[in-house]
Amino acid sequence: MTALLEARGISRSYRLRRGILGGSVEVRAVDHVSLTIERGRTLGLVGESGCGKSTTGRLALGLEAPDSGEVRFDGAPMPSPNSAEWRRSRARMQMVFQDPLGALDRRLPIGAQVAEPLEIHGLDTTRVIPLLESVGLRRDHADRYPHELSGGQRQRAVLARALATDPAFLVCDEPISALDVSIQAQVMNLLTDIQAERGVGMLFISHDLRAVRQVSHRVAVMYLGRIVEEGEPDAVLHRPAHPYSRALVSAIPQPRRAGAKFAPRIVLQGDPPNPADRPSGCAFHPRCAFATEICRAVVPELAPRASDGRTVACHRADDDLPAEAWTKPLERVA
Amino acid sequence: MPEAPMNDLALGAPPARKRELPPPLVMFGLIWVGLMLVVALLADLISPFAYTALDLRNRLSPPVFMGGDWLHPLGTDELGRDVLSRLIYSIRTSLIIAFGATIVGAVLGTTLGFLAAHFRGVVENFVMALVDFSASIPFLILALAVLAFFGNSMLLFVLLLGLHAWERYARIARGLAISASAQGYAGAVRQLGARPLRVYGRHILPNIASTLIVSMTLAFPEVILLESGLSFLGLGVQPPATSLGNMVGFGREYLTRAPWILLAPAVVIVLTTLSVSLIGDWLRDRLDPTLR
Amino acid sequence: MLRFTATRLLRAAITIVMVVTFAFVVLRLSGDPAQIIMGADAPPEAVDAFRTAWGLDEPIWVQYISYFGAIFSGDLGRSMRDGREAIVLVLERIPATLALTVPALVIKLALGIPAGILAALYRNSALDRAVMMFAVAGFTIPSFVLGLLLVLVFAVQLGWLPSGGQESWRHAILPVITLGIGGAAALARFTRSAMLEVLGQPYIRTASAKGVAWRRVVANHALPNAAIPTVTIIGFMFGSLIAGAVVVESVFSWPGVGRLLVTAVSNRDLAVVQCILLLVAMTMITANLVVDLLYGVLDPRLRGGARKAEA
Repeated sequence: MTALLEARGISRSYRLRRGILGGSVEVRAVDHVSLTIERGRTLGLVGESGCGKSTTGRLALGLEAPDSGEVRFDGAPMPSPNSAEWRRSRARMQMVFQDPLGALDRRLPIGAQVAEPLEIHGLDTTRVIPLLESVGLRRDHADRYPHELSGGQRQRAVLARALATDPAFLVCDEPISALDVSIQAQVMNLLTDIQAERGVGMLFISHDLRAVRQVSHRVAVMYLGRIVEEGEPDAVLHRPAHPYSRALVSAIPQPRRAGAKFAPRIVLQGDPPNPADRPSGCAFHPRCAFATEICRAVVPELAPRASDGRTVACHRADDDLPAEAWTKPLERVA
Repeated sequence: MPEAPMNDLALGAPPARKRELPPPLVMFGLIWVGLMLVVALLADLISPFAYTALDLRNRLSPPVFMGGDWLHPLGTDELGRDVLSRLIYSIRTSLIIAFGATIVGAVLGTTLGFLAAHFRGVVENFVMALVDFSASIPFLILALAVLAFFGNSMLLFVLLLGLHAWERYARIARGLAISASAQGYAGAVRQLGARPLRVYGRHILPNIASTLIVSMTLAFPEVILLESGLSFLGLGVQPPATSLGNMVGFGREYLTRAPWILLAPAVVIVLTTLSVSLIGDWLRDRLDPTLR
Repeated sequence: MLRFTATRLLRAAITIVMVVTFAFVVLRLSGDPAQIIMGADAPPEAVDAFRTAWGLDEPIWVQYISYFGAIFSGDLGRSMRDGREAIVLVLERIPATLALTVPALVIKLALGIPAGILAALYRNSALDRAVMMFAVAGFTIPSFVLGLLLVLVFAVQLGWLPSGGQESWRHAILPVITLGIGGAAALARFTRSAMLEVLGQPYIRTASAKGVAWRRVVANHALPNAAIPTVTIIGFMFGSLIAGAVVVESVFSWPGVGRLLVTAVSNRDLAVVQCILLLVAMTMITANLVVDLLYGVLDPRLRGGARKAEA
């Protein structure tokens, strides 16, 4: 059986113009990314803001066409954006947005907005109330306007709208980052319940590693438009192989047990990544404590490493890299 | 573009809030505009004479308050035509032109703004170059040039005045549509599989309607002034039809002997533009404080 | 700054090309120029000869290009009324127009800017209300009504000043006042709102909270920042020095460019209309360009922005 969604070597660049006369800079938002999402499974995509996560999500959903590479959904190539076929295909794949208030039309009651995908795709619009109930909203929420709901309720409404056509694939782009912490867990649980019930495949994009660990079956770490590490959440998020993943993971605040050694927190040195000015070789090398000559010259391929078969894009993946190496830049920062 | 403040202040207001009366000046404006609308609609019923009817025995007779009689309450002009009747029909003509032109401008500008926002690229550059072009020439000169080249007809005149201020609507519609599509509700609806017609007609247009209506209210008095200015110069509404500016223009010949011919329409022009401006400012403050 | 200037120059050039294209298209759309100029009852062979002589039998794009060539070499055609060169006719009238618009501009600036600033500084005072009433009146009373009212009072009733014509400087007083008052009102309204916006900014509150004397806050912080948007409208006023008096010149029978334009439009003297259109557009575009460049000087953020985009 083919995978639900398969992206092969997709890239996307944007041109940033500098005035009418100025030339333009090409910004590679996504560079040769490959992803596979299975039915009923979730792929978590993590990375700093600006690393190309959201663009990857838009490409996977077919909202934009990649400059090169290919996205296949259910074995068939993704139709080109805004074509009639593309519009029809939207019934099978949907998006959950970061800002639910922005994603909802504030002039229409919730019920009308949840009914909208059903109208567009010529489906039975009487399913609105059961849909609302399935995401934990009440029947009477249908007549409310977005501003009359709480943040969590709005995100449930967005979810109800996304689920209306019973899609097979859902892209959740930072779905909880705009919500109160107390609400985040509820929405996360709702997402896992929905997946268990309906068997949707999900691409879960977030900078919140703990949220990703909670929902994902696989995790990919992105840095400046490329995937630098991919694997099981336990492996990637507990024993990260790529130096960048290690830095990300170390940034999660950990409850410290009495007597336990304080895990060193890695503070990255150097400038935050700028997609318009990409370093040569491994894009991470200016901030990496283990960088060598080859890292500055050659782009590392994402491939299984020799020792344990973990998928990493790092020239030093098979070397033993001591965590203490990072303390040096720490001192320098101090 | 002004998105967030507008929504929070205007659209997100709880519907149950108690309505307060507008300030007295705005009330005056509303009443005056209402009166003008009634006059325009009922012109045929309330006008004492036909606006072309001559009364040659009573030429240049003064209005009641200057010693005239009640037969012609606002006096007569040089041909003995009743000033009140002419005023009533002039109000009708001027209002029809101003409404027509304002709507033409809003529809044209909004459509072009949406096209620019939807297609981006070449279309957008073209529309924005047109916006630059309109902003770089005083509209009166452009209008005069078009009238010189094409001659005058009522339809052309309305369309021409409609070009006034189109670029404001285009700017507003383009800016708001782009921001709505980029991360907002319009982008969300588009990815549901909606056709552009649904995205723009059902979602974007209702959301930006209050901003557009405020802009229309602010442009309306300018259109009245333009119409009356051109008609005053003899290049707008042509006789036998009559409009407010046209009455002032012809009345000017009798400024010394019969100032009432000119004063009546002048007062109406001033009060109408004043009223609509007051209403527009008030609406802007209430609905969309981001516009200036 | 260089790139900033170059971008603005390019934009101005594009707008000029659009104006010339507009004139060309409108001229062609309005009918067969040969037929119009020769008259409807001209013999067909004469019309044909005219076409060949003026290149009207060439493909439209050749005509378009030679039209550009003609315009940029200063050949703007001849008046259909008296056969003189249109450009000469127009240039002759410019001094008369400037005699009205320049003093009027002085009135606008001298009256409008201080009134706006004072109204903003003493917000909600009696002075502020008076300025706002004056501003609203200036906007809602069209210049031809104001002009005629002034004539009615000062020429007809009091007999102090002449009602029209151009015989002496006294003839200029009423038109200059008419022009100046309307513009001053608009400028006062604009300056006031620009000033109020600046006065509401955090840096003004910070400066006065730090104990800087209010006079200095206004002089050093508020005025320079409020000047930035005000420059736009002043630029527009400079741009309309030539064309801003169309209505007022007609009211006062003042033989300037505006009156020439109205007469030319009535007579469909296309060459003259086209010449004025181009001249006015050039003036406006130049004024806008100067304003844009002044912006760069007044508002360092713009220059910084342009430089940042270069990096």
